[in-house]
Formats: sequence, structure tokens, C-alpha cells
Amino acid sequence: MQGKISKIHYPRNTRELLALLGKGRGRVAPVGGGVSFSFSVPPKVSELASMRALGLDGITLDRKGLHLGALVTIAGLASSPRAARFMGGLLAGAAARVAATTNRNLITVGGNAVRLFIWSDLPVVYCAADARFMVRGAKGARRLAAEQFYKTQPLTWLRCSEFIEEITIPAPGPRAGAAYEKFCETENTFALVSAAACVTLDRAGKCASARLALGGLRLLPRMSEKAAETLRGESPSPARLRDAAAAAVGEAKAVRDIRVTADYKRELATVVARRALEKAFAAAGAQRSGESHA
Amino acid sequence: MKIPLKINGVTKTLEAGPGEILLDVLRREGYKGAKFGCGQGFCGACTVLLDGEPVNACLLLAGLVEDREITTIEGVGAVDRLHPIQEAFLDAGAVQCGYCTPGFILATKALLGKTPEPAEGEIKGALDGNYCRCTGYVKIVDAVKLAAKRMGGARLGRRLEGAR
Repeated sequence: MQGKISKIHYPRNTRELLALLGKGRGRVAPVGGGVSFSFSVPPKVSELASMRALGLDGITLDRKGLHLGALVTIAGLASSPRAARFMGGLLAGAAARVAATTNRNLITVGGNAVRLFIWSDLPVVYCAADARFMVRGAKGARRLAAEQFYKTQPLTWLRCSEFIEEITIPAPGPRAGAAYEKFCETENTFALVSAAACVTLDRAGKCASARLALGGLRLLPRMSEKAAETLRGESPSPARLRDAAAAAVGEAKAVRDIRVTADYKRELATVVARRALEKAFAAAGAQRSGESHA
Repeated sequence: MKIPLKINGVTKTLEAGPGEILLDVLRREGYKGAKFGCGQGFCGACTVLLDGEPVNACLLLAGLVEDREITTIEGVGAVDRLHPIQEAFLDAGAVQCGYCTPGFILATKALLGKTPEPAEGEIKGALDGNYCRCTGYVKIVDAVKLAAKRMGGARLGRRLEGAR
């Protein structure tokens, strides 16, 4: 029982939702699956506005990239044929590893993006893939890059009159590869650490760009500048990838949690980051050799 | 607040507080097959089907299931005529204390509805949100395979019957 919640509203469209949020001045929170509200309600919130009637449950794929409506469930993303063929199934694969089936059927991508946990999977992928968040408010929509979105906890800076409408993952260029790796104690528990890598190769097979994000070290996912610097313009040799992973973890802060120490996480993260880079470059390399055979 | 919805195929209106959890409301209404386990969405003892998909009723606010369809274990088979999945769980010895069984049966029902002949990996994946602390999982996986075989046989029988 969440005694704090005194009312649930059912707005029929975006206009009604925005009116409710505006009038509520932080008292009314937009809600998708509502999972996080079942066990914790933010301090000021006492009413909820269900977003279900807004029709934000579609996944579309076009030249610009993959677009996820805020109300797409994690299970819906995991089983989407469109998501499966986008970036080698990066998003679909990561979604399939979020918690368990019974959770994935409830949790929405919008809620999952905003209510962060230290083990959250998809925010790490969003950062590496340079995803864009469309945040709608009374004065229109604003687009935020994932890095900006996760600079601090979204709940601390999102205006109470705003909600997430869509997440777009931009289409990758040629010779691109991506991978998500996570380490957890059993198949369906939360990640101890995770890493997502999105890379591109130039025509000569050298690294043109690399985006590496680490998760699990602390609440917010962390992009690594140093990994990108270590890799740019270089051949992705095993030694270079090891150096890049070590550089990424070296510049990141880690916090212990109830399961493991910070030092253990750092050691683990070095391995997980290297594996993500290896897989991403292997995928990019396969694209490149496909190009040269074409 | 009043929440119109369907439970086990019957249109109903539930009375619930805006902050009430679906599991508590269902149990108060007499649907006691859904159990309280961890209360955090880990164990699956509270599993019900929401529009045909297994979900944790302990993580769901009752007010958010307006106009949707809930299936509880009470809507699967009957005491004097068990569902083939229930028969299979009994025959395979996949039941011990029984506390987790409704959740497993419902997760199996959702799986076999979409994938009539699941591979072992698919069975394990579909049941990953349900914990059993008595029998272990070997007999449960056996039960799902047995149910799939029997239900597939029944489907084939119906098809052959229709072709005559």
C-alpha cells in the first residue's frame, strides 16, 4: 500500500496530461508501468497521472534511427523485430537482460530511464549509443543527449511539468559495431557492473570513433573520454583494447554496494569493458570486411 | 476509487484505494491463488497475467489496471477439471508445498500460448521470474515439456477431428 498516493488521474491526451502536471506543481507525477511507485514515491508526489492513453507504446525504425515511445515495455523492446535488426540487436539484447520476465512485462522504457538504480542496464546503453531523450513540457519539447540526461539524476532536474515522450537511438554510420556486456552473480539478477561500447572503423580498419559507457560503478552511467582518446586513430589490437578499458576504469569513481566492494567492481569493470570493446570492434570489423567483399 | 476491469473473463468493478497494490486487492476479493512472497518483484509468487502476460501483482498499483484483463490461477481450470498444465505439474511431481505453483502455472500458460513447443532454454527464460524453494527446477521444466506435449497432442487431435 502506498498511502501517500491520494488520487490517480487518467488524462486522455498530452494536453490533458500537461495541464494536470502544470496544475499539480510537483504533486502530480506522470506514470507508465508504475513499478517504482509501488515501492517508493518521491517526496512531493501525492497524485499520479497515467500515461496509458497517450499512445506512446510504439517502436519505429527509420533513417534517423530507432524511436522508442516512453510506454514501450522492456519486454516489448526485447522482443521487437525492429529493435533486433538495429545496431546488431544492441537495445533488444540489453533489454532482454533487464531483471526477469515478470518485471520486464511491467517496466516501461520511460520509467526505467528516469528512475535510476545502480544496476540499471539501458541507461548505460543509451549513453554509449548517444541516444536522445525527447522531454515534453507545457512550452514544447526539448531534446537532450543521454550524457546530458544522466549528468545528474534525472528526477532532480526534470521539471515537474515535464515527461519523457520518446527516446531515439541514432542510426550508426558505416563500419559500426556495438555491444553490451554485464556481469551478474546469476543469469537473472542485477548487474554488478556493465559496459556498453559503440565504435566505428575507418576504411583502413583503424578506430574512427569509440564511445564506452560503464554502469554499476555508481548510480549514474559514466562515459569514458580516456577510452575514446586511447582508441581513436589506432588499430583495435588486444593490447590497445586492454589499455582503453583500464583507462576507462581508471578515471571512474566506484562506490561499494551491499554486494561487493568498490575495488572488486573496478577489477570486474576492466574485464567487462574490454569484452564490450572486443565485441563491438568485432562487429564493426565484420561490417568492414562485408564492405570490401561487396 | 472504482476500477473497471476483467478478471478471469468476468467484467468487474473493484473498489480500491489509489495507492493500493493489485495483489492486496485481488486477495481481498477472494483471489487467493496469487501469494505474497517477497513483495519486491523477485520471487513470482504473486504472478498474474495482465492482458495475457505474466506480471508481479505485488509491483502493480491496482489503479493502473483500469480496463485491462487479469487472469489469476482461479481462472485456469477448475477443481474438478484441471487445466492440462495443472495436470502436467501433478504428474511430473513439480509441486511440493505449492506456494509458488500458481505463479509457475500462469507463467507456463503465457509461454505455451505464444510458443506451443518451447525449447528448454525458452522454458527457463519464461520462468525466470518465478522461484521455487522446495522441488528445484528440473521437475518444473519437465512439467512444462509434458504440458506442451499434451496440449500439442490435443491441438493436433482437434485439427484431425476438424479435417474429418
